[in-house]
Amino acid sequence: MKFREQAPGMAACLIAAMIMAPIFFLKAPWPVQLRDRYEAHTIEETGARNVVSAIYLGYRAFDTLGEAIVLFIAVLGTLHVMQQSSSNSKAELARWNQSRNASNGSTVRFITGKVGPIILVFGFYVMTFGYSSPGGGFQGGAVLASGIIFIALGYIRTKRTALKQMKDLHHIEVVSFVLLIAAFFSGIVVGTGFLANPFSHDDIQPVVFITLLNIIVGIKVGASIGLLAIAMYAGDIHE
Amino acid sequence: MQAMLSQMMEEITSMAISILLLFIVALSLAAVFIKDLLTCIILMSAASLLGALVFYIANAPDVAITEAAVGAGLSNIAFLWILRATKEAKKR
Repeated sequence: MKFREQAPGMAACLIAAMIMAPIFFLKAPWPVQLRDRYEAHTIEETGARNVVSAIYLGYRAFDTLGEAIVLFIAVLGTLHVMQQSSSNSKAELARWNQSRNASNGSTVRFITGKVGPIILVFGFYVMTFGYSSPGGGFQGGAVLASGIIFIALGYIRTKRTALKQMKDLHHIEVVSFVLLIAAFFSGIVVGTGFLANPFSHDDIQPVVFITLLNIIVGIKVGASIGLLAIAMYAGDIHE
Repeated sequence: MQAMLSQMMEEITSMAISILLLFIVALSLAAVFIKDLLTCIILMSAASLLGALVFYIANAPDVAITEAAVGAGLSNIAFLWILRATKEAKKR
C-alpha cells in the first residue's frame, strides 16, 4: 500500500473530520422557537398532519419552486446532449442494439413487467398520503422513478424506443411543471397571494392543496429522474 | 416505573444509533480506501441503508424513505451504469 495512492482518500477523510468536528463538540443548545411554532400552528394553518410536507409545500413553497426549476434545467440539458449525439452512424446503432439485446433476456422482461407496476402503485400511495404519513412528493417521485427504471430495463430494446420513451417522459414532465406553476399562481386569482393556499377561505379543506401539490411534484420528480436514468442507460460513449 | 422505563428506552436507542454510526464510518472508510470499484459501490449502498435505519430510529421516517430510495437505490444504479459504460469504452 503506497502512500501516494492513498493520499487523496486520507485528505478527504481529514477535511470531512474538520468540517464535522465543530458539530459534534458543540455545547450550545439547538434553537427551538421555530420548531415549537410549527408544532403548534401547522394543522390549523395548512391542514397537514405531516409537518415536513407542510413546511416544503406551505411555508417554504418558494424553495420547492426553485428545486423544480433546477430539475427541469438538468433534464433539458440531458435531452439536448442526447439529441445531438443520437444522429450517429448505422454500424454503431446496430452494435448498440446487439449488445443490449444480449443483456436483457426474457426472464428480466417477465420479472420487471410484474414488479414494476407494483412499485409505481406504491409511489402513488406515498405521494397521495404524504400529508399525514411519512413521505411526500419528492419521496414518492423517487419511488416512481425506480419503477420506471425497472420497466425500462425490460422493455428498452433499441435506441429508438429509448428516445421515444424519453420524449414521452419529457412531455409528462413539462405538463406537470406547467400545472405546478399554475397551482402556485392560483392563490393570486383567488386573492390569497402568490404561493399561498387558495382553499383556506372556502369550505374545502386546506389539505386538498397540499395533496394536489404533492401529486404534481411527485409526477414531475419521477418523470425527470426516470428520464435521466434512461438517458444514462441508453447513452453511448463517444470518443 | 414509567419514567425509568422511558429512560432505559432512550439509552438503548442512543446506544443503537452510536453502534450504527460506527458501522457507517467503517463502511465509508473501506469504500474510500478499497481499490475495486464494484466493491466500493456496494459498500456505499450498505452505508446508505444503515443511514436510513439511523434516521428511522431517530424519528425521521421522511428522511429515511428518501435515503433508502435515493441513497441506496437510485444513486447506486447510476454508479453501476457509469461503471459499465466506462468499461465498454475502455474495451473499444
